[in-house]
Amino acid sequence: MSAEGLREEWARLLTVLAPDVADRLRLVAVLEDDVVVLPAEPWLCEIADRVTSVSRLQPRTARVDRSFEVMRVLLSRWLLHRGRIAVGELQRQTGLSHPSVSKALAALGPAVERRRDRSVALRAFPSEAWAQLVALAPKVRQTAAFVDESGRGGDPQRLLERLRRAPPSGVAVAGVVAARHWHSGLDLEGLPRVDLSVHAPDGGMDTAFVARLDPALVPAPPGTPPLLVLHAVPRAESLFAPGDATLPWADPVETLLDLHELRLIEQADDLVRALRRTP
Amino acid sequence: MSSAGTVDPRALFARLRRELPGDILDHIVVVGSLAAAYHYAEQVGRGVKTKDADLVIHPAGHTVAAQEIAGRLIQRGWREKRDREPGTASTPPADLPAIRLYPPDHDEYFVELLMVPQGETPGAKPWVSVELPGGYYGLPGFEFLALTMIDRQRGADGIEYAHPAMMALANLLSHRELRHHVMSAPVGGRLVERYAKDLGRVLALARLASREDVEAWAPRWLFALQECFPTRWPELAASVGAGLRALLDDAAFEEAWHCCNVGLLANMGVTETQLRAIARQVIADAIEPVEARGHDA
Repeated sequence: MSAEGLREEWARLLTVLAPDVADRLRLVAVLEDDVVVLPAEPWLCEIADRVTSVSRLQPRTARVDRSFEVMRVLLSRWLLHRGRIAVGELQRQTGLSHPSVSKALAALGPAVERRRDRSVALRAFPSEAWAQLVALAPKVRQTAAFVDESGRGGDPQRLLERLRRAPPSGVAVAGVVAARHWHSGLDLEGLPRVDLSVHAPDGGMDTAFVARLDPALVPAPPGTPPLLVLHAVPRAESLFAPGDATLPWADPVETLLDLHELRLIEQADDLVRALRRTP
Repeated sequence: MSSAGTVDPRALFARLRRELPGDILDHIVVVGSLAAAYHYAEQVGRGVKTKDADLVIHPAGHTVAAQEIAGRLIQRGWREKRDREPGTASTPPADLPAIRLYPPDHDEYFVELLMVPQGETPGAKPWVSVELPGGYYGLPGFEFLALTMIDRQRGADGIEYAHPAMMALANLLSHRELRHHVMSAPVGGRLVERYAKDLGRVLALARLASREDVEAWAPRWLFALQECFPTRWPELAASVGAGLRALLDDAAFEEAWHCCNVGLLANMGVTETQLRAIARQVIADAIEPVEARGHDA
């Protein structure tokens, strides 16, 4: 049901109820893409905010958003100087239908260079589409965040070492650690948390390995800085880069999105410049 | 040495060094909360609430040595801590009081003598009757106490004490089944299940250790089990975590948490939720590898 439909139903319901009952009822509905709070009282809005925060931290399996995958694959190739890619191959890597790929390419407009051999590449950094992705990332990226419940504080570096001792399949190192891999000269001190990309071509992100990694890790409550953050990579090809014999690296675009999530904007911009400088 | 009912474990070790005869020190190993607090003195600080120095006499089954040690201490003025009257030659050993002795000139701590049982026969060990000047006392020897003789540590004062990993293993094995037995003496003002106190101790030791230390418990445990129980070790290894897992689903987990917070983890502010997470880590890091070896053997 849409937000508008919900408001109409709610209004109808209140008309058939006794006034003293109707006066006591409140509605807080967190929908896929909207929030309805009736009446819009501050304490109800606070509840809605909390529910929204929690749902953002839980793995979401319904309606995986792949609409940005074409741009992400092209941007990753552009950053890594990989040149053009055939539209058919783009279709295969993203797992999208031909019409969906065509629509995504059209949306990128003049940022995309098209050849007669049906290959495409980015001409330049797609600033507008990128800004849109960064803004929508909290919504379109399937995310799961975890904290250490043992009270020992949790050490991201140690967690990473444990992960490397028993690397789960379909998982790549992302975030700050991957950023240092892609550009060792990046101005990044310490390790605030471990970011991982989890290949989830079927839409659902498998988080079962987290309990094996450390049974003290539990979903992060709202407002708690996480120790571990997982992001699903929903396209058909993970585009993970070979790593240090244990874990692969997430592609630069995943890494950039993690840096933005960590509010490391300058470092993200530096990473883009560094990658483009290095052929 | 003490403030608000707590003792500094390092200071207590130093006193033992000064107040026990040197040749006796060669035959005793400190176990229990004092040994744990000494090992983790940096974290525990002055916070351990015990006046009880549990001393295990070795080698295994050395009743004569235990009798001699107690007799010599009494000759040197050590005083019996009489919770109840000593028995006679005809008193069943299980009804005899344990040997608890205060130093000659103060009551700041007392020593309690324990014995390592010989062999690997399963089940509770009978107490051994020991005659002292005041009457007959009992010398307890617990089934898994032998494990604490493996990997012994030597403190700065030269006194040996049990490694925390071995005390944890002995406690886990002692409570593979949760048997109802409320302790006669209150812990931090509450009467608690014996299994909750002992398994809580395992979690306290794990909390004081690092994750890496706890991971290193597994190979130590396997070595100790094979050394002390050459025929029983596969069965013991395979079931080592049964009690702790059961405790996680038991109402007495809260008692285990209470015991930690009035004992080794006092003032560390560990919540029950955190202690449960630590239990899950111990199971994953140390127990599961040992159980797997037990099943494979």
